[in-house]
Amino acid sequence: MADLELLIKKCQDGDTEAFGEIYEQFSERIFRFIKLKVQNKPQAEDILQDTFVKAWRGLPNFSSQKGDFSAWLYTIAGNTINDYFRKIYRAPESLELDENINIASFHSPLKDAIMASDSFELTSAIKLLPTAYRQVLELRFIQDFSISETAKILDKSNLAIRLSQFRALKQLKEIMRKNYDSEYSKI
Amino acid sequence: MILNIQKFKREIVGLKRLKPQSELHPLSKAAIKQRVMAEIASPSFVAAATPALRAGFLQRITHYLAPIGAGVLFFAGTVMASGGAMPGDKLYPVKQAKEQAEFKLAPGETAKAKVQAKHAEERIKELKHILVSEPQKEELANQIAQSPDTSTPQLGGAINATSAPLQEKKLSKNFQENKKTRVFREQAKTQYKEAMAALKQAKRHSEEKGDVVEAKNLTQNISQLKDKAKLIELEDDDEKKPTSHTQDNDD
Repeated sequence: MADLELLIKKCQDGDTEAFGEIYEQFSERIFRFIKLKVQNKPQAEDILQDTFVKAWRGLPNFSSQKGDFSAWLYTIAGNTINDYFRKIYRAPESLELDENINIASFHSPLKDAIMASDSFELTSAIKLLPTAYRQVLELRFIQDFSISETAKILDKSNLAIRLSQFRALKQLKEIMRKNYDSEYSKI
Repeated sequence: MILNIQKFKREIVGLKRLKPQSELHPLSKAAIKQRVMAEIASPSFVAAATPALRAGFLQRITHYLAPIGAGVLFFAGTVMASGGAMPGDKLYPVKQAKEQAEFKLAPGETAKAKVQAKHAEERIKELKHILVSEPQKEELANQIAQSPDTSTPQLGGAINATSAPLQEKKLSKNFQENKKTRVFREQAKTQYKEAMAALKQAKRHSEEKGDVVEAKNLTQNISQLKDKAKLIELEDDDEKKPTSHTQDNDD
């Protein structure tokens, strides 16, 4: 982290090469986050580009004392995604549990025996969750952000995030259980 | 507690074990990086994107007033004095802010293109200044070669010389300066390319409107900028076509 602080300081002094290194460190993670909401790849790439340009512009105002750099960057990405949706007249998805998920139609492909790992099943199950839930799980447990950091990134309250993560985990567990039952019945 | 997630321990452990997979193709990653770097180095980028303006009180004030216009009387003196500032000088950020204001205030496509060309020429001038004033590697290598402490005259050998910690420090400082020069060269190249694109577009539009005089002026601007860029090899390979112009030998 000391390296990152040094890079940030260099960027704030106008070193664009240092910013290039920050891009190398964070671009893949940020892109993954963007792709959760923006399925169109070229659009996601544009949003990634805009995110980093905005980050450069906002760096003079960033201070490590105010918060984590990573969370700050994700927040910019989140806002850029929302701007994109506003432009195409679609509101960002809100926390709703009324998404129609046809859990019964989920079949684990099991194309090869190699693919039948917990990790693969979990990844497949995550893809069935609504975007809002996927985002919360991604930020909370894969990227390891705290509740308050996740709330800031997604522009929601701490309570909304706790509720969301609870429902997301519950739904994930249900999907995996049904998948297990479905595969077990094939034996 | 109602929202207790302890009962999902297995799912949470599984999630934490998941390695984030990259969905960003390496080529796309590199292409986006190039676009980001070009955009942040562009002269039309808003003053707030230049973190160097954080440095001092004068620069902070200039950062906020630059978009309003360099013609604000209070800063006229400073602005006038910054005209000859070179990269690294205290007034260089003021010069940059002045250029940004000039660009914003330029009325219309043609005027903006000419301002961009003027700024690109200024970058070329600054790059020439840097290249001339920076100690040359060959010169340093010669100094090291002549030093009784080195075993070989070669620069590479000098780096490995056991009794040359001072020379190593000089070399690494020189390498850092060259790195900065490379970064500046890339920025100058980006600005040159943007200025050329703007001039060519303005010329095209002038021709479409039937404004022959303006189109001819813009042709001259393009040619002039191209000649200046040739001096320090800022052109792309596809621009290096044989022309009837003779090379300038002034540098």
